[in-house]
Amino acid sequence: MKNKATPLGAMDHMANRGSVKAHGKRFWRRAMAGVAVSLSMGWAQSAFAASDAHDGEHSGGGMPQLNPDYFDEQIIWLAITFIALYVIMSRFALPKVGEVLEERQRKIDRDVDRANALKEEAEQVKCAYEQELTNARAQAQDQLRETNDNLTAQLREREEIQAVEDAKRIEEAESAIAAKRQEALSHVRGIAAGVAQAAVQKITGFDVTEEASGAAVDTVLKTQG
Amino acid sequence: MTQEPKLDPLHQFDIISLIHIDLGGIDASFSNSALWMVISVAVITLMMTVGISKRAMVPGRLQALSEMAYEFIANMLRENVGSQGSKFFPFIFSLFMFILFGNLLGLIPFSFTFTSHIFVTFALALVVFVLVTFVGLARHGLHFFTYFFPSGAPVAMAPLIVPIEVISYLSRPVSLSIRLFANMMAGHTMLKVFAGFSTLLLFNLGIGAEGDGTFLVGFLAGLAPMVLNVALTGFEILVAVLQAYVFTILTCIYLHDAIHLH
Repeated sequence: MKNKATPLGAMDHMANRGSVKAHGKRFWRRAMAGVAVSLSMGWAQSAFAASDAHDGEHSGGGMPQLNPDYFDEQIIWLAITFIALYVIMSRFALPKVGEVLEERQRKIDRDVDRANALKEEAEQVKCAYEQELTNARAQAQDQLRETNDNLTAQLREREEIQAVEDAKRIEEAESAIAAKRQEALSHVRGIAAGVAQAAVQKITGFDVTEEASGAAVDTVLKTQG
Repeated sequence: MTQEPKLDPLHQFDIISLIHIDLGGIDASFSNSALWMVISVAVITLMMTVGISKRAMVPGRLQALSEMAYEFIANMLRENVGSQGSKFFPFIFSLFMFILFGNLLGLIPFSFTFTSHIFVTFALALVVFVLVTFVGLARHGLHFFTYFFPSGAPVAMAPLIVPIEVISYLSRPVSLSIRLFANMMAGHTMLKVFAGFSTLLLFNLGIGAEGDGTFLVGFLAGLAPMVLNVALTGFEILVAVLQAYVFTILTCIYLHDAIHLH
C-alpha cells in the first residue's frame, strides 16, 4: 500500500491514531514471530544440510575462527568492503540524507516563523480593533453627554420662559379677579341698599330714600370691615 | 540405512573460498565471508540511497528508515562526543551499519556471519583504537599521556594508577572485539545446536518410518527444540542489534575520552 501524504490522509491518521498504534503493535508482534519461526525452520534445515555435506571438507577439530589460513583474505576483503562502505556513505548517501533533513528543518522553521509573524499581525489587528472600539465608545459617550446637556439647557430655557409667562398670566388673572371682585363688591352695596330700602318699607312702612339706605349700608360695611 | 547425520555446530563458521585470488603470495580469495561483506555493503547502500532519492518532505517508509538510521547515529554521536564528533559521523555510521547488517544478515539460514570471526572484529576494533589514539595525540600532543594519570590523584599513587590505566587502555580493542565475536559465535552455535537436536530427533526416532507411526513420533519430538529455537531466534535478533549498538557507543565514548581527556 502506498502512503500518499495528503492532508486528508494525515487527518485520517490522526483520528485513528489509537487504533493504528494497536494495529501496528499486533503487526510487529506477528511479523517478529513469523520471522523467528521461519528463520528457525531454516536453521533446522541448514543444520541438516551442513551435517550432510560436511564429511571430509572440514579440516577437522577446533574453531574455524582461529585458523590463521583464512586471516589474509578476511582482512583484505574487510578492508575493501569497509572502505567502500565508508566512501559510499560519506560521499553520496549521508550528505543526501543530511540535505533532506536540513531542508525539512528549514521548511519547518520557515513555516513556524511565518506562523509567528501572522500571529503577531493578527494580534496587532486585534489591538487596533480594540483601540478603535474604545475610541468609538468614548465618542459615543461624549455625544450622548453633549446631547443630554443640550437638551437639559433647552429644557431649562423653556422652563424659564414658561415661568415668566405663567407669572404674567397669573398676575393678569389675579388683577382680573381683583377687578371682578371690586365690581362685585360695588354691586353688593347697591343690592344691599336696595334690600335695606325694601326691608324698611316692608317692615316699617316708611319710604326711605335710596341715598339714606346707601349711607346706612356704608356705615355697616365700615363698622364690620 | 542412510548415513547418520553428525552434529557439528561450528561448521557454519567455516570459511569457504569461492573464487581463488592470489596477490603475489597473499591469499585474497573471495570467500563466503567476503561475499556476505559485499552483500551487507550492498544492502546498506540500497537502504540509504533508494528511499532518500525521492527527497519527499513527508517521508515514505524506506526514506523514514534511512532518516531514522541517520538521526539515530547523529544523536548518539552528539550526546556522547559533542559537536567535535561530527567529523567522525560517516565513520561511526559505517561502523554501526556494517556490524548491524553483518549480525542481522548472518541470522539468515545458510548465510555467513562475518562478525563471528575474531579476525574481523579485532581488525575493526583495532581501526577504532588507532583512530582514537591518533585523534588524542593530534589534539593534545604529548599532553595526551596525562590521560593515564587522572588529575587530582595523589602522585604517590602513580606507580599503581598509570599501569592500570595503560592496561585498561590497551585492552580496549581486545574487549571490544571479543565481546562482539563471542556474542555472535555463541548465539549462532546455540541456534545450530538446537536446530541439530531437531534433525537428530527426527532421524533417530522416525527412521525408516514411512509405514509405521514412528515417523510421527520423530516429527513431534523434533518439533520441541524447534519451538525453543523460535524464541532463541527472536533473542538473537535482539543480540544482533544490541551488539552493534554496544560496539558503536563504546567507540563514541572512546572518541569522547580522546577529544576531552576525561
